[in-house]
Amino acid sequence: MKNNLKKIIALFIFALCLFINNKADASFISIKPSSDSLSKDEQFYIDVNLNTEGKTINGIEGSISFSSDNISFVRAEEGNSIVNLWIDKPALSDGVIKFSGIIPNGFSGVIDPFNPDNKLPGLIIRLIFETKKEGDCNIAISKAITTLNDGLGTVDNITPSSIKISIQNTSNPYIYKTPNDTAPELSASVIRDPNIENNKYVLIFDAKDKQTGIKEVLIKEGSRPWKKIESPYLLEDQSRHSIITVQATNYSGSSIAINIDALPYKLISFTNIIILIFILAGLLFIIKKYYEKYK
Amino acid sequence: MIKLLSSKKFIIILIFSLVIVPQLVVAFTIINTSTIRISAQVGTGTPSNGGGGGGGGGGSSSTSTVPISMPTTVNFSGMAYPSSKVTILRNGSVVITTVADQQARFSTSINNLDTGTYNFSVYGEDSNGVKSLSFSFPVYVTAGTTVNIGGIFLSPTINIDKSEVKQGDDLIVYGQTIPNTNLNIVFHSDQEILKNTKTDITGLYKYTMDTTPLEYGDHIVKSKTIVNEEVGAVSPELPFIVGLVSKKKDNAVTGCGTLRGDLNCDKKVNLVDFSIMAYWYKRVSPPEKIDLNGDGKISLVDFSIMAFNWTG
Repeated sequence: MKNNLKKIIALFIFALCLFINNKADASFISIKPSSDSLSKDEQFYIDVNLNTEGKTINGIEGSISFSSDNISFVRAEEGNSIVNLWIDKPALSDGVIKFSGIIPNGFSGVIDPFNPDNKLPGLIIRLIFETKKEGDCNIAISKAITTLNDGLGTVDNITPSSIKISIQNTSNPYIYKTPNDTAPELSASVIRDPNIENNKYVLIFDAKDKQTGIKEVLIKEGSRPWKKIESPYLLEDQSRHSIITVQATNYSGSSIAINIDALPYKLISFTNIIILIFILAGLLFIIKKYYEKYK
Repeated sequence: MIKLLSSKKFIIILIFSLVIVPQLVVAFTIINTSTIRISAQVGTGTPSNGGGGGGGGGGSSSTSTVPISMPTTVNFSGMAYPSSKVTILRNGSVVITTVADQQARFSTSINNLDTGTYNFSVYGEDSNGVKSLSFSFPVYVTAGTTVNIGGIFLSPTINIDKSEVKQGDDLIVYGQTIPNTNLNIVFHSDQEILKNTKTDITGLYKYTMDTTPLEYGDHIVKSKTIVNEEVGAVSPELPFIVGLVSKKKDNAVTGCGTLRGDLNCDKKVNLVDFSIMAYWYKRVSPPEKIDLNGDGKISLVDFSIMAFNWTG
């Protein structure tokens, strides 16, 4: 009896250890605030980092909830993010910050070249908030998944996490600014494909900023006014005879602009010129005939 | 109960569970560890703290120097296929292409980078235009440092002559890797079947498989490069069927549809394809061609399949 009990307890601990280890293998997101002690009217940020626990992932999707009574969302900065292409740029929607994006060819942790064996978590986004009133405030990863870089898009759930922030009954008006001394990078091109907008001309672009992230991308088609756009964008001038200017601006105000040349007007072909001459000659002949007849 | 907890056997089991089991789990998780070497050097100016700038590769090294403005460089070196094209991507965009020498060695550098995290990836293309798997290296780069990413060993390429083979007919498996090396051709069926072959001076290999021992149904085949009696790199897996008739595989490897995620049929998977898929994201009834996993909607899973096949 004693022996059986021993075996049962040992097996239980063995199974528990296996379970704990399996749990540890799941990717997890950590939330790190810029400050633990906050006052009212103070802007602060949280860094949302991904630790893949050795797995190679290539897609991430999630939503972050927070107590809107105590803090308000200011903006998301995706500069320095491991996510290279955003499907849904981080934005507030129905009181929740939602995001999704991909990492081409996968990510399994940032390599520190001075300590290559140690892989570091990768930054997904930096979220800027402003405190409103005193009290405790929760910020939580309410839902998140990653996809494995296995060619099948296998979904891997992320262990949920949250932090609690305390806001004191003191006032400390502070505007947070990420230092930025670099200009954004921008690549853009006009494409036509039967699978987008019925083969009409569409502008596609990729705007990146290594520090604060991209605030907005604007387009100017010929003499038309500037317009805020997202990629892909259906061009208004489908004749493509307007010069297109695309401008990306980061959160510190630095901009980069590129021009895309208009398509040249087609020259009248030699055959068309000959046909035109014949038509004109014919018209002149008819006019002359009528003129002589009624003269 | 106290007696139980204090017994020797129990303590041994407890130690085994707490110490050995986690190690076993980690050991089984980290399979096929690569021999990729990553190291970094700070600047190349006058050393202030002993030691000179070391060479590339061979584990990690760091040298403290006078903080003067030095170029930031990332060096890549490794083995691809003889005279093959090797492409390096930075954050998903092609940044440089190089050609491997006759011995399949390649090396290249990227300069003038700002401080930050970069996701570099490397892939090769064999003499038939078949692409290797991509290797990715998310690296944190600081200004004035030289980061060496060495020992990259691109996976062998693989192709087959039939998508469906009549049981008993021959199936030809071929591809390319480094020259004059041994390869394992692995057939995953109910039982794994392992065959050996060798590459020629150009790195090409070809193995003719008699499919008599393979059962009817779905199978996969892959190749493994053997270097110093160890697995050097593993190719992607290719599916095939053993059936009643033989059907030639569509070997238009560069044609549209063979590279999953190449939505505009330009033999690349890049921003254009991403934009096409992004257009259909959250829209009803996406075209069959765009819906890569065929679930009737465009979701993160479809983007993930595209990201796996990304060529930049």
